[in-house]
Amino acid sequence: MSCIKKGTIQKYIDGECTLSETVQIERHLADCKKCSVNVEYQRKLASGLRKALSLLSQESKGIPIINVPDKTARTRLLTVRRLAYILAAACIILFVVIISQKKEPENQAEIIMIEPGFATEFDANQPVSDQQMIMTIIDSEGKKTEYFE
Amino acid sequence: MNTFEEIYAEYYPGMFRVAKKMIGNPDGVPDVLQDVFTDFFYKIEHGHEIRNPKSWLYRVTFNKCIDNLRKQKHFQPIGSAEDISTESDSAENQDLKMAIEKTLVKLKPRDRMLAVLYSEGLSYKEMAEATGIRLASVGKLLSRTMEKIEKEFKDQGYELY
Ligand SMILES: [Zn+2]
Repeated sequence: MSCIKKGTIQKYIDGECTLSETVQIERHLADCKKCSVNVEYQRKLASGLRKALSLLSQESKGIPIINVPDKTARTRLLTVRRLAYILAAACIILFVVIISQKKEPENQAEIIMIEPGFATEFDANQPVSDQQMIMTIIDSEGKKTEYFE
Repeated sequence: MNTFEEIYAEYYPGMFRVAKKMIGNPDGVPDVLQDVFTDFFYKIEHGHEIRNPKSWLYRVTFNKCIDNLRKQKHFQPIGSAEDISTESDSAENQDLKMAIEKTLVKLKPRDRMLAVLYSEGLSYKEMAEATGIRLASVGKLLSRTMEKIEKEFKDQGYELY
């Protein structure tokens, strides 16, 4: 086994190695002075870091009471918001309906039926795009208008 | 699963220490934690399953601390001496605290969080989940971070051990 990587040593000293990894590492450490020195060094670093950082959080002020917003207040808020959305949507729909009704020309005949079809008999073996389409529109007075593609 | 109140009581002290080490300024910590627990509350309130509350809470704490650090940057330097020292501290201790603060500030937020969580005794799995680091990389990143901290410490005339 070649020498142990620093990351693996870290895992080892933190007790995060599997049993077989630990066995391998310890077998190597028994014969390798250099890695044994590294293990000691990293152990010291780790405890030094823990000690140093613990200085930053020595005094504790106890646990404050948490102020989670009132559930019913939130539900009420959501209901009000939903209502606002519905009203806004209703206004827009109403507006669109009014506008579209105004724009519609008064004496245009109402279209009753639209019949799509093909000018000649449809040939299933030909591509659809090669065959001429015909659109028959029938209005309320029974007048037929044919549109060719 | 435990109730919200139980989880709150169990993890608040640890999260407080983590957030304090992360953002330096202890006055900002209660707001950060209030935010974290409010998110947590609504998450479970809406039926979301949080399998590992500890990792979840530390991850959200990490994110909120980063937000807080970004905001702080515009207003004040992180971790001034008055912020972290108490009256009972000896002059020597205060200098040491300053040095640690200065060192932590120089680390990338992710490495800083890793060092902080390590000092709190979290497992590699928990650290990976809280920081988004791959589990297989935790050992390597930890040893690198510790070397950086040691070097920075030395540059300021201190020994880490
Ligand atoms: Zn070796």
